[in-house]
Amino acid sequence: MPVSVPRGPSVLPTVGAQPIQTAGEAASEVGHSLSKALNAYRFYAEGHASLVEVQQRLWEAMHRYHGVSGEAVVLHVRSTMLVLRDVPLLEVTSPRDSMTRPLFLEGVQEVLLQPGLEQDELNAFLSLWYRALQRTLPPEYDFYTCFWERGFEDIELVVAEVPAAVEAGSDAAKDEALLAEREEQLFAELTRRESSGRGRRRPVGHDEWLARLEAEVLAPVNAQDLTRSDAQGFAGATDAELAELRALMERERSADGLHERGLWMVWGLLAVCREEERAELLGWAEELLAGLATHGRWTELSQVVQGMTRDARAAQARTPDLYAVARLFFREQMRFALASATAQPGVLLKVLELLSVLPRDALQVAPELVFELPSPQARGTLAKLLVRRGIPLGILVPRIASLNEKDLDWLQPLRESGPEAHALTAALLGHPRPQVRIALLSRLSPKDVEQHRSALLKLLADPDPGVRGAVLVLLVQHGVEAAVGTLVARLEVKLEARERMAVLRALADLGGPVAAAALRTTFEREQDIDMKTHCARCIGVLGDPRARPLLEAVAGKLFAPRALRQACKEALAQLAPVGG
Amino acid sequence: MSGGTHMNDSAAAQADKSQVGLKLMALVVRCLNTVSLHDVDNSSSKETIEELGVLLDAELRQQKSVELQCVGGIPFLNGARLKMGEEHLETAVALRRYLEHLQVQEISFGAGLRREHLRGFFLAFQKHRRAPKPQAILQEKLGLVRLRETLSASTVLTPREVLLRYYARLVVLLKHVIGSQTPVRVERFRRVLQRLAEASVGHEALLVGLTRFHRKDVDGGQHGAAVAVLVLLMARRMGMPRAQQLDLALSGLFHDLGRGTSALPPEREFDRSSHELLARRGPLKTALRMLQRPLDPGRLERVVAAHDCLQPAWSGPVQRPVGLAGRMLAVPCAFDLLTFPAPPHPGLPPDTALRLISHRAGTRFDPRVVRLFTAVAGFYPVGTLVRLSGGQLGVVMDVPTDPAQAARPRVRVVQGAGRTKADYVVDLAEPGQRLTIVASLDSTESDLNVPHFLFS
Repeated sequence: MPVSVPRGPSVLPTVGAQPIQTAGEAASEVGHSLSKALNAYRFYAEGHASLVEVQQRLWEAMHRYHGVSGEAVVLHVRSTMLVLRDVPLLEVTSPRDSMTRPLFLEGVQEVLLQPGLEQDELNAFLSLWYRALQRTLPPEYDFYTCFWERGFEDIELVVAEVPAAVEAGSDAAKDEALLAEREEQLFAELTRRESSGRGRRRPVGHDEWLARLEAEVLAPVNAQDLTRSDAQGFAGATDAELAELRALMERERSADGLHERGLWMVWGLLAVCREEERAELLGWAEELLAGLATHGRWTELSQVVQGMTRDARAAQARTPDLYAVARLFFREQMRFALASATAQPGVLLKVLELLSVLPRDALQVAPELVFELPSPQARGTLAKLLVRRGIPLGILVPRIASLNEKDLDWLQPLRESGPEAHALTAALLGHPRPQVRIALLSRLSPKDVEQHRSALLKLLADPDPGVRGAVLVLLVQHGVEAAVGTLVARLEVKLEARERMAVLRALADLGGPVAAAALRTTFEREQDIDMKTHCARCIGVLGDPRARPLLEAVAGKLFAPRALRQACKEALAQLAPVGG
Repeated sequence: MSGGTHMNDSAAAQADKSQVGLKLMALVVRCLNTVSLHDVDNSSSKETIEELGVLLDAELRQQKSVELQCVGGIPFLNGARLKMGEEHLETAVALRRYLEHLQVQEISFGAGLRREHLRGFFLAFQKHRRAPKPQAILQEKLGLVRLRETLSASTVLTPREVLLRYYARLVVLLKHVIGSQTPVRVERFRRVLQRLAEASVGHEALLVGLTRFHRKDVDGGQHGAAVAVLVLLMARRMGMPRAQQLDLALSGLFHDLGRGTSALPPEREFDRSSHELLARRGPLKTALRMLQRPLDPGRLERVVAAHDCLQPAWSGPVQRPVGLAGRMLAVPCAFDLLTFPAPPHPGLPPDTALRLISHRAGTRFDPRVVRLFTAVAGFYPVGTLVRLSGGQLGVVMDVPTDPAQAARPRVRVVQGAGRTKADYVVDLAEPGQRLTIVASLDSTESDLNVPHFLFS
């Protein structure tokens, strides 16, 4: 937790137990505290109480030095040490380990810390110094540039002219020497009194030059533009106007409109790029799109795409560019951004709005996105959009396994959209998850049942008992007599009692001579009393007159279980009369 | 005539001195090489040391001491830079390697130098070069050979010199980057711009004047540098923080990086569309030089500004968001392109160019930015060669602070009436001053190097 630091002169440094007499002692104390402070950065984060304490001590030591000597603290920077009033501070043997390394390398000769230095400023300077030591200054910066930009009030540096540090290798050194040579030549040229005269006016070319400028700079140029006007036009810039510009600049820097402008730039450049440069540009565009998407700037994205589309309509040549950019929306990174965004409330509609302005060409790959959207609602809305734009959703069939039972809601209209959607229903019937198969079975229309009869019959032997039960119900409900054969075959398989009963009951409901024969055979052969009882009831339901002798025999048996006899009697009552 | 002879003499002396310096550097390096391999008393070592001794004896007859210096790899003799050719680079690099290791920037040989002093120096070199603390050689007593860690001569430059030198460095570095296709090391440019920004406080007019140097041909280095310093001044006038000033200046510096060297050859027949394509491909090449994936926001900002700066020239009916940075670059960029010779055309006089730009304010340029630019560069921009009502020729020195006096700047008269030689400054805004500016002139016609007068 950051500790609040009392600011500036409000805290007067307390003189320690041994009052400091001489400037030399004060200097040593500064060196000691400085070394401690710089070291403390290695162990404590900015704002840590221990760090704050050493910073405070350093500031106090500086304050004391100012008091004793009456002048600024002037730290002379050497390669292996600092010198303050001839007192060596922070001395080490090798310049590599020296705390002064970043300062020395950049030509800093002296650091002046003026009296009145505030602690915040001192801390900021120390932190900068430490970052330079650790080479963690922001990219593109060196110590002195950072220092200058920060604009310290009471800390000054005396910096000598030092050529830039050269990387290893004699080629780099040669390059540097050549550059220095050229610089010297240019310096000499700049200061010459007479120019070389090579820029002397030549009579030709005025019109061509203006026309060229028109192409590059001003469009268009009129002759009267060059006529002289009064000085009134040059009123200068008012303070209010400057403040307005400054505010505008500030806003531009802080807002994340950069990605958007970057995208427009890439769009502009795509118009003039060569084939080999295209991939690079599209790479940037992809990154910018992803940037906009991760910042949630969907409206801007839509506007950019609309603008590009308008451009492409105005100039045919830009259509391939538009397609190329639009296709980027369905690259991996962007798809991920789109998919994760739709999970946030309220974003889905914006994303869909964006997708709806994309050209149809790009949407050809959009069905892929369906599988990445996290919520079934989102998937459904996207699918609807795609259908509306006439994008075939054939990809759903091979990848049906990625959907779940909740998707059946939005898949319903797709399944019912026409004969070409039959494959979709068939795929769903073969969905690896039994829950999906069960949920689908409850949604099938008579037409579907008719259409997918063979698939449904196959489901009678489905490994999942739930599916088998559901399909049985469905088949009975729709009176699919063709199921009888399969059901009879199922009786040969070892089934659980419940299921076997259901099959028997289904046979009874479906009816027909084959079913009747199967029931009779089962009734005859069945040993289990409950099953036999159930079978008798089923025969009753079916009302098969040819089962009468079988039933009567059992009903008349003296030692047969009572429930069985009862069931047989009830069934007999239901049977149609023989030949009736 | 005599002046010319004198000049020739001093030039010859200079060249001679440089030759001696090169010889001395080569000998010192040879000696250091030899004693690195052999004993100091070995015959070959003795021979080279003797050769060095002879050269130094000859030199020390004329002067008190001979100082060979090496700062950042650049060798100096008595504070004067040695003019090196390709063939000397190896030697300079070797010298740097030896001296940097010892943390020595200067070897000075005093008058009365004897051979044993040299011998002592090379013995000390042998002793310390492999020691854990080689800089201890600085503490050795070496008689009349003295080693120094920092240069004895003070190298503190005046702000004018800093401006000139760093501007030259900026141009050279940028040209090098444009020409060599080396990676752009922004920190170096930032450092140079920072020095320019620092030194130009209170000398803003000089910084504008820097951009008025003659250019032999279309020069991307000078164009970039000119736009950078102009936009730096505009940012300063806006009161932007230092970091943003430099960022904007860097955008200006690199705004035309890609187009730097690719002007159409003048002999080629003019064709508007090919020029436009060339101009439009400029930002593309800039972007290809500057951007790498993943995109760095700082660089992206610069590249976008570079693109925005040119874009309105051909943007279609669809309005694009053009950033303020781009709009700010557009004005100095156009000004520079208009005023500088693009052979065969000599370029417009600065005030005409400014007029052309202000006519376009509101359509091609942001009017606020145009006013800002005018406030920085002046109605007659600094460095414009003007004819005064008295017939004198002068160079505009600064920008009047009062906009009402915009057409009455301070002028350095460089030619009196009747083509007489003159060199004085008149302030046209002074009460009672009757002189006025009657026309601006093309400085190429009179063959004057305008900035010379600003900086002299």
